[in-house]
Amino acid sequence: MLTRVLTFFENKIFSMGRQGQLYIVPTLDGLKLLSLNMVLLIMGLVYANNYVLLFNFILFCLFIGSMFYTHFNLQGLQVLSANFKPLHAGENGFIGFSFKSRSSLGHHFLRIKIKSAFLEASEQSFHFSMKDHQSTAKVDFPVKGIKRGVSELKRITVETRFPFHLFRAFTYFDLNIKTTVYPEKKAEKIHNETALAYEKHDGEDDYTLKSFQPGDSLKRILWKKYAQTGKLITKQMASVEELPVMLSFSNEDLSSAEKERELSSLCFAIHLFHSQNMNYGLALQKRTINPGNSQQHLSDCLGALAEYET
Amino acid sequence: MKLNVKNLSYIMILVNSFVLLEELPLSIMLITWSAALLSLFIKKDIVRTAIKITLLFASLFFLRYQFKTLLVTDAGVSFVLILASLKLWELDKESDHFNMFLILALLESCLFLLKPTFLTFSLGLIKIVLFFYFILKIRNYDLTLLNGKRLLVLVIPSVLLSLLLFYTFPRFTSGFINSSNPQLLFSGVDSQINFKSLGALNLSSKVVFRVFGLNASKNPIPILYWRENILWDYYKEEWKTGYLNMKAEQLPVKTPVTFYKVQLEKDYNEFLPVLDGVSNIVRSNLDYNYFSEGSFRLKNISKTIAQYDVNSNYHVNLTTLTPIMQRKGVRLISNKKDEIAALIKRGKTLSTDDEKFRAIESFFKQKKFEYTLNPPLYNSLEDFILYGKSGYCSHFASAFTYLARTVGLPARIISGYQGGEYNPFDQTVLVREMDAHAWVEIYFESRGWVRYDPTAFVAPGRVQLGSRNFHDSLVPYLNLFNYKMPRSLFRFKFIEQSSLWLDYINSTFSNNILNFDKERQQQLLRSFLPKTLGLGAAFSIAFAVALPLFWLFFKWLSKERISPAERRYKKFTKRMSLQGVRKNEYETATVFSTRCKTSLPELSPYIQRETEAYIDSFYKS
Repeated sequence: MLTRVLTFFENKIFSMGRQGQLYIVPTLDGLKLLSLNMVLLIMGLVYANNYVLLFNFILFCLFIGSMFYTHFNLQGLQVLSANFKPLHAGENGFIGFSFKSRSSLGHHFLRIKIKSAFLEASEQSFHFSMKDHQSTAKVDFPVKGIKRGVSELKRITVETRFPFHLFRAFTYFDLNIKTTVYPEKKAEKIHNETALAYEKHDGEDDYTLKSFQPGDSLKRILWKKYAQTGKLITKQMASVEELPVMLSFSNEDLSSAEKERELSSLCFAIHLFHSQNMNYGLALQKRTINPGNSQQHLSDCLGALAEYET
Repeated sequence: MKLNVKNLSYIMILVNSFVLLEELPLSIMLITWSAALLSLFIKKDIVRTAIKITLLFASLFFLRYQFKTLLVTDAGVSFVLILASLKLWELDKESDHFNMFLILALLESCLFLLKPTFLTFSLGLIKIVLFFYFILKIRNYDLTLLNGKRLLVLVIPSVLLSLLLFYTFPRFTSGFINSSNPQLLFSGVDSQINFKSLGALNLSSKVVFRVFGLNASKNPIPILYWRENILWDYYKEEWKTGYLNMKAEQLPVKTPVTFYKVQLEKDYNEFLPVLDGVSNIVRSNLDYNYFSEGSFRLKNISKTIAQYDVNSNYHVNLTTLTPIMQRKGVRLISNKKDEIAALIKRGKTLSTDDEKFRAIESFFKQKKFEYTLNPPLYNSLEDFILYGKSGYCSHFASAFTYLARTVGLPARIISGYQGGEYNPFDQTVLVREMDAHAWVEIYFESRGWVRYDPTAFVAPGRVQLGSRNFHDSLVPYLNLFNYKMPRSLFRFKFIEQSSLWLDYINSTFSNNILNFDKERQQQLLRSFLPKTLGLGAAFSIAFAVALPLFWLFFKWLSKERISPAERRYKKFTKRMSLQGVRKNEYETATVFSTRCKTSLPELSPYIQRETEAYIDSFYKS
């Protein structure tokens, strides 16, 4: 019940809270300690026992002191930069932050929290510190892709409960960084590969022979040679004779689950063609990407898959 | 054994249960120990829950049975102890560790209630801090971050603030007496001697009261007599106080006056001990009545530590003899009174007080009594006088008073203390339970009430050596595992000195912390606060002032490390923000500058200048 109430307020503050504003609330442990303080105060007064009263005041003042400490453990923290390298759903990656400290007390045991439909923290216990003398720190916050999609990570929460877990101080940093999660890489379903051009080459001179390298197409292995020599030899075409392929859905009338599976499959194919240096294109319902093979082309294609019908 | 939260919890509960062993019944301890022991062996959840519930109800039943009600302190403390031992069954989660910490903190407070000493308090604090340290360790904290400097930053202001709150927090009440042994409270433990039950005596070295201001060089401390209450009425082998109708105004003390302060540390206070002779209490924190017999009795029996200032003249006798005293002083209801009187007089006629006194003294000496702490039980006082051989001060004082009354000399038993130990660390005199003593006062028309200590005749060492040395001389061996070991082997000067030093610390702490009551608080705060300001207001003001100071202290510690260039640039971003262009956290100075120029073209030169200045200083540095 209490957790639900706290989550409600947390969500409320998350959407309404001001950037850079520092919030501090007692934790459940803090509230329990406060209750004990009340009990001890009554006990000390009823029995007129000064040891109980002094003990109670010491606990209470440590509670207050820890409130200040927790507050100042977070104050003065700034985000200098944030970057995110797209990843596939189910894959681990990280958001890179560069923090700056303006406090001479340092910052200890800071936790980062994100709210995104596509990403989640992959290590629940992840925390970082900035020592007294440290004015900047680079932090790689480990995340995991939940599902494909493109979104904007508007803000993050940075919180701390240092030193005694009695208070939780938190603040928000507006980032507005684009996060792209590509579909999962899975060769689950055969998709359409349409040959756009096919040029016949006559004559033995049109190709050279080279040793098989991982990633080379199995179609180009000279099996006869293999039988003769025991070595895998492939044909390397002398001119640009790659067969550009257009990747597309096998069928337009697919259920959403099937579509996701097909997207995963397309994603797998894109990576495969990219690694084999083959030219490939992508034909989706509303978007067509012409064949090509470059890092940018790969990103465009994967981005198109991530954005598909979202 | 690895020291972790669980093991530490076991240790703390066991240690606390042993500390409370004196105060609480054994049945409670057995429940506690069995709960702790069973938690080690039973792992199955359902069985654990069943046993836990059973033990909880069993403990409530025991508490109800033992204390008759659950609303007494001892029952509450017992319940907290049992609760702590039951919590040992569930110490798997982090939240359980913290709950255990809270229960143990409550248990320590209970210990302070039943054993309010400096040692209990300081050890309690250490135990709690140690436990909390392990909780933090469990929470995967890098404990090196909580280094000495950081802890001091947190602890010193917290302790200072807690002391401020402690001294200013208004004391609304003087507390309530709550005892599990009410019959002891109402009858008064000091107000009678039951002769039939005068058995073996085993007095502890617990300090009963301490005296400040007695100069050791001028006062023969080991032989001082401290009178507490006076026993007049003898009926059915019992000596009782007879202070009714003797309430009076205090007598003036003639010079030379000894001025001292007494702090009474008994569990229940009824009478206020003062130096023998004529005494006058000048100030006391508890209300009392003076009785013309020379005793001071509190108006209400109290658990609060009594503190009072006294003027005494040790060498002057009390002279008041009212008709009631006269009557009570010679009253003796006894079948063998005449028989014993005849033995004393031996056919002579005793006309003067001195003759009477010499006769009873001579009779007493002829009996050749022996001092022992382990006398046989006598059927009656007369049996002791006629056939008895050994006893201690209560026997001898009773007998001598009886003898005096048989010949018509007014006599009374004085119950109090004799001796004491001088503590050089705080220049106090410690009077212990083992210094308890009884003697006689006999009224002479010419001299008033004269002290006579029959024990001093039987065993002069008791008075001259002091109780501890005398008792040691009586039993010079300690029986350890059936071997007799000389006591001297265990009496090291270092240990004795340490014990006195510890007592000094305890006393100082008690004076400044434990005994800081409503009156002392008013006295302290009134000395530097205006009289019109209420104590509640003083506390509120102190808290309201101290808290921001505390905050400022942290603010100062975490002061911003900012260069002049940064400060200038910060001013610029603030101005831009006021103009509606807010800098994003991750935005570089150049990007922000471009955005500003687009939004505020009229300020372009200013934006350019400030950005360049910032970038220059940033890269140059």
